[in-house]
Amino acid sequence: MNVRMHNVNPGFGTVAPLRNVAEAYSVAQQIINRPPGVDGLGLFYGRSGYGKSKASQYLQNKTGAIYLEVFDFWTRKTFVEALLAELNVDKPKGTISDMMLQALRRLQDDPNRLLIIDEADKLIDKHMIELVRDLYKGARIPVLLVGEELLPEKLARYERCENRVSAFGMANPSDVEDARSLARVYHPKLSVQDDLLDHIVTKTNGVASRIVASLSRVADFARARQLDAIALADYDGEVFTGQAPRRGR
Amino acid sequence: MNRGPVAGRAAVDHLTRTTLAWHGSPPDWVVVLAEECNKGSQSAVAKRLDYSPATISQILSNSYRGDVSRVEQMVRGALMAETIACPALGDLARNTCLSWQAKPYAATSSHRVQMYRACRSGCPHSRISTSRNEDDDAL
Repeated sequence: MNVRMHNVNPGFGTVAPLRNVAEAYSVAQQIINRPPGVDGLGLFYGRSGYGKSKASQYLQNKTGAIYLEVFDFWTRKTFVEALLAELNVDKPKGTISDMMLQALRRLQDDPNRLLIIDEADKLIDKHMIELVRDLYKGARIPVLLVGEELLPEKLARYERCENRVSAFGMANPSDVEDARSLARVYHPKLSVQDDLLDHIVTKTNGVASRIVASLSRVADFARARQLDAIALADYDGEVFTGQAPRRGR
Repeated sequence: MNRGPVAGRAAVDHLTRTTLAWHGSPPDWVVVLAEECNKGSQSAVAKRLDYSPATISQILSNSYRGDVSRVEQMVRGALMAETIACPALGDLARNTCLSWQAKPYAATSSHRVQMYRACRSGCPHSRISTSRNEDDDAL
């Protein structure tokens, strides 16, 4: 093929103004602008697919935060190396303690810069959460821990960490309002009526990622029939619920 | 020891100095840069642009031998609020876009990996050479 394809999805280019995005932003503001004497650890938690990571990315871009996402294979060393990579240290060297000291020194350059740690519950599972407390103690930067629904309970096992938490935010399932925002962002040229949005929200239990997947099916359906607007009565396609199809007997 | 400007002596007027160095007609973004240096300090501006104070000084005196157009883009993004439509992030300041492009691959988050790919898949705002990707297409 001679035509150069842009494999970046043009509809993807922004974050929809969902309630969760506002919630994450408010938690971040609380710990960034905390008064003296108030600790700066924040929690943002909720079930998967509610758009926590998306909201965190929005925060990163709005506030210039450092954004880390814990991978399952990470060790203490990879954690510190990743932190240094985000602090523009290309090839970190030395022991974990050397690198931690270097990271703390670098964090001093901008003491109000937010640090977002996504999938923070994995840090707790791997007994690495004390590293975060060290970071907080050594640099006094605001830290936002983002994780699954059980994050607060898991953190409660580490009382010394839990005591430092001064702001909570819960990610909630999307409602029709949120679905409308998602439709506007991902399919700006198609007007999806409220009854269809409501149907999609109910079927997907408000999981934002599945609403987006369903909307893309609706968009395909509308495009095939050259519709500018679509309501529940017009649509006889499927809603993406995440259930694998079953073979009929 | 240098303890700052001597009392009673006028601080350097970057704009006048710049106008002279650019033979009376500095480009708009250089004027903005000089005005910003007048407001604060040259090194504070340098920090915002992620360049060294020496680079800022050389731009103002029209003697920078590096990539002037990149400095221009950073000034337009950081000081003149110019944004681009990033295919991955939406409305994005021009200087932030260039900072993303400069980041090497690091698996610190799936978001960063996604941005690494996005800057290298034929984005119209990317200044990264895509010759390797074009070879891939030819296959």
